[in-house]
Amino acid sequence: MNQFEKWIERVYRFFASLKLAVIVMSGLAILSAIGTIVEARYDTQYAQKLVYQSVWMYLVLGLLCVNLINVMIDRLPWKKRHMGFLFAHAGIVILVLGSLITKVYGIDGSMVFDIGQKNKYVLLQDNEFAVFSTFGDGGYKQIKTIPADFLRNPPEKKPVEISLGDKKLRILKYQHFSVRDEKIISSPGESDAGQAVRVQLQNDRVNMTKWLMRTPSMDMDIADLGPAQIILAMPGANMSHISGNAIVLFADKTDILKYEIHTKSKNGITAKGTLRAGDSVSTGWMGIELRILKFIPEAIKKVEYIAKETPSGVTTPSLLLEYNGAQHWLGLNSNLKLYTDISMYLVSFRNQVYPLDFEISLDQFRIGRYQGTRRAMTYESDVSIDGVGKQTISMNNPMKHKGLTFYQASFQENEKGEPITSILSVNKDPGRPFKYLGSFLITLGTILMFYFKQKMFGSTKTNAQTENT
Amino acid sequence: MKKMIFLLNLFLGFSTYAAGLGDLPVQESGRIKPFDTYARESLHLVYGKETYNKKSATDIVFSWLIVPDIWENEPIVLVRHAGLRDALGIAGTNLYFSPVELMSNTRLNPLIQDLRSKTDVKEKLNPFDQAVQTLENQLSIFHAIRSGMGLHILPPETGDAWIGIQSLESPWKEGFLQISQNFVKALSAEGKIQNKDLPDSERVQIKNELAEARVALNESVQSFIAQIEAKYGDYSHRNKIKAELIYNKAMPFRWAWVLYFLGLVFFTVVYSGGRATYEKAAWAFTGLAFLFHTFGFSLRIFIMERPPVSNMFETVVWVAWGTIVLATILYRVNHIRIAPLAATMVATLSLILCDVSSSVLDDSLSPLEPVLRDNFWLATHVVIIVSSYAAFFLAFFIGDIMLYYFLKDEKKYAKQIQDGTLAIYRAMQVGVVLIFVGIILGGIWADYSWGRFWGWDPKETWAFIAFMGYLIILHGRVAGWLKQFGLAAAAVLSFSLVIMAWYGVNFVLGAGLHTYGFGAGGVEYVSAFVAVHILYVAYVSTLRQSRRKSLKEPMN
Repeated sequence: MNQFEKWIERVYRFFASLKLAVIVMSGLAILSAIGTIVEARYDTQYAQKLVYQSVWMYLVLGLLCVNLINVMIDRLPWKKRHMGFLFAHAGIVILVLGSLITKVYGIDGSMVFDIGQKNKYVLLQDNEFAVFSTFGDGGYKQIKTIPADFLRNPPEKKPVEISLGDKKLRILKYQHFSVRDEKIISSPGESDAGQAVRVQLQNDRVNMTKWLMRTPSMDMDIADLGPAQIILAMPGANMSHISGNAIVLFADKTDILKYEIHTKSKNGITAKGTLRAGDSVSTGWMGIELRILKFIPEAIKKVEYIAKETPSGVTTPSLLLEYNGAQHWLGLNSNLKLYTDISMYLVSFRNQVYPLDFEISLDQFRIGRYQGTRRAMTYESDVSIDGVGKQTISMNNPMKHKGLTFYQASFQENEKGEPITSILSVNKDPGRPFKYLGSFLITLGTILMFYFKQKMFGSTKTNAQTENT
Repeated sequence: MKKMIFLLNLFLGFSTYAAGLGDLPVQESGRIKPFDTYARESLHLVYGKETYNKKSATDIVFSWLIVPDIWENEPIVLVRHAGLRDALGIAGTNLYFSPVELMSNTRLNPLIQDLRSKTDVKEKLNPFDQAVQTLENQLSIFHAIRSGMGLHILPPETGDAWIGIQSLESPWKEGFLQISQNFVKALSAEGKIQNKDLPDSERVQIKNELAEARVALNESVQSFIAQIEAKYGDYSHRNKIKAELIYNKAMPFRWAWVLYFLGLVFFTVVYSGGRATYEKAAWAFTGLAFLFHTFGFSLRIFIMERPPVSNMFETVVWVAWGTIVLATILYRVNHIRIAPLAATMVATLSLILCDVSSSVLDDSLSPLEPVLRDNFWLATHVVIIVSSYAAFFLAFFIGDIMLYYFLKDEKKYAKQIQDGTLAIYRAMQVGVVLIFVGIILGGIWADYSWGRFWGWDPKETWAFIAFMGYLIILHGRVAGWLKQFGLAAAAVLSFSLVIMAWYGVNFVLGAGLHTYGFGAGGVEYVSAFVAVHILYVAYVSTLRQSRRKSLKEPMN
């Protein structure tokens, strides 16, 4: 045997060795353990993208399959006593193959319906970044869509640039956990600036403050305080519809506000006049005083996303963009308009969507509760599909249609605690038969193996007794 | 058969004793339970124990309703968290405070507001927040009981939310008033007996009064129930209420561990060379313990109509049971004499844990989350996974015992060591098949219910990690890398993985979809348990190596 053959033999020995098997199994265990810790600290998506779907995981699984196939080849020619061994080890390869097929060809998403609504779009877990152009006729045309896997490919390291007209749109930064923060700032001369007022209502029991802001495209901004309303409108606006208690503030680009106080019990306006920032006036309601804490005649809303270390119920992913010399923040599932002198674009950072070729409507949604409590016991959706008919989807009882399976996943309630929205998870898994076959073979093989072992154990009992102790 | 009749009589005796105030059906937390359970749970939540000054929970909690003003000023609220006591400005050695004292504490409200702002955005709660939450619950349940709002005892005309005591109308109001009056009579008679200066002649008379008042109280409760039954039929599932009363009073798991412990003592004597007749005694105690054990969770199955594996407490009980079954099989089939010894160790330890650490292992019977409401999958996936823990637990204790023999004299105990090695190997084989089948069934359940065969959820991932660990050991054994000592050490060490999958995911990681099983507490004890075993293995291993060196023998 020459050197090369010897070398080949040694490599093959290693790939068919139990040593590699132990390394691979330890690797799988360690990676998985890291994944669970990452998931506990961050979130599921974080662990999925950075651990379970990482290069390392694929490498370990690849080595596992190579190792398994080699040990099976190593046992050639196969005998009857090898049956359990072969089943178990081939089963694992088939199981891993099934998972790969699911990952590549499967669909795993969700659908959200309000009761009575129709829907045909499945929201997928992965995100995309889409750009639309508009030609002033109100219609939009999608001009560019890129997958937005920024968790794995952060734009800070791998810059993303999209050409829009003669300018470039750059994605500067991605924040996986961030909180939306809205600020109202003075911006004189800005074309879409509006008026913003910060008001305070106070007596010895009540003390509340509130921002109101009206942009040029709005008729008015209304703050509903239950027994009364505060309305910010443009001067000369028609307020004849008011029937209840209301404070109306009229503002334009000058720094003087006009006010009117409507009192329900007196059927109309009980006070009017002008106010500047810092002024206060009595409302005549239970000694409540109205004070103008701040008044910005030319204000814009500035949205920012502030990065957070770990997730909470209010965090969302966000992007920092740069276009035409200005920076903009964009949260997941929201839109942003970008202007140049000649054109307008709409950019959107959102879940990828898988359109179905049929529509589903949610006819009814029910929650069964544990007796005497608000705790949900069961929940189910009555859905119908044109030409197919009605069906009920509940926990542990999904619906199958055209290769897809629809599961009852979750629901949302309104403030009164009535269910209004049903969330289904939608799934297609072409790897399923492989996974079931693999699982079956592993189980059967392991049991057979232990059965043969037991027989062998009986015949080698003397051997076991002489084992070095 | 005689044993069975004896047991039956014992429990029938309990069931007649149980009739009384505790018998009254109450609707709470989504199910109907006897007042006995309600009172135990409430007192346990507020006061940390199921009795107060040796008085039963039913009497104490009912008196919150009857004489609330007295209880308002009694130190009955347990504030366990030292940080919370500091924050409330009530630091010191005292752990118990009166409801009034706490309600009027001006620092409490801001803490509750902070907690709200966290729960509103679903932020993860730290132990301090959880302590605030507990205190808020304690005060609100006390308030709910003292005002009668928390006690729902009458089914409604329509709907399914029962009516609370404060909204009872005629004729139910009168029926309940009768109960209250008789209770007050019994209470005052009991108060008089407490008086030590009471002359004996009067004592006898008051004892009679007390007995009469108790009988009257029981009768008024029964007639109140009968009154409701006359209108609504079997509104409370009488048999289940009875079963639950028996369960509460009989404390089957406590009897079981006491008997298992006796079994363990006798097995130890037999195994270390004692007379063979003791073996019969060992099996008799273990068998009797097993009957109590089985009886206990059969009652839970009967009451809740589901397999008994839905929370940490139930899985610990199940593991103890599974270990006994597996050890009996190993003993009968493979003649492994050490198996029952290790199994009684597992069972005793597990059931003592269930008995003493009720703040960590919640033994209440509560309704299930919607996803778990599937008895078929609970009975297959969960039962099989938990049974694999039983097999690994058995291997773990056998490993512990083996290490002890290695520590003493491995030549002298060669026979025991060989017996033990076979037992560990068998138990691991059983465990590996069970955990694999369990994981796969979990995958099939998830696939069937959510369309996801495998989602790297922490609970399933840790089961997988434990599976990998044991698979490595079995391969190492086949390859001859692990000899007898190696296998024993591996059995002890790898059980840490099972502890992580079983306890750690729910109590340490606290993440993932298996959120229905989350809990808190006991982390320091469990970590210490794991650490002690790692040190034990390290100690025996070093000692053994140095001995071998001095003997100049080849290493294993």
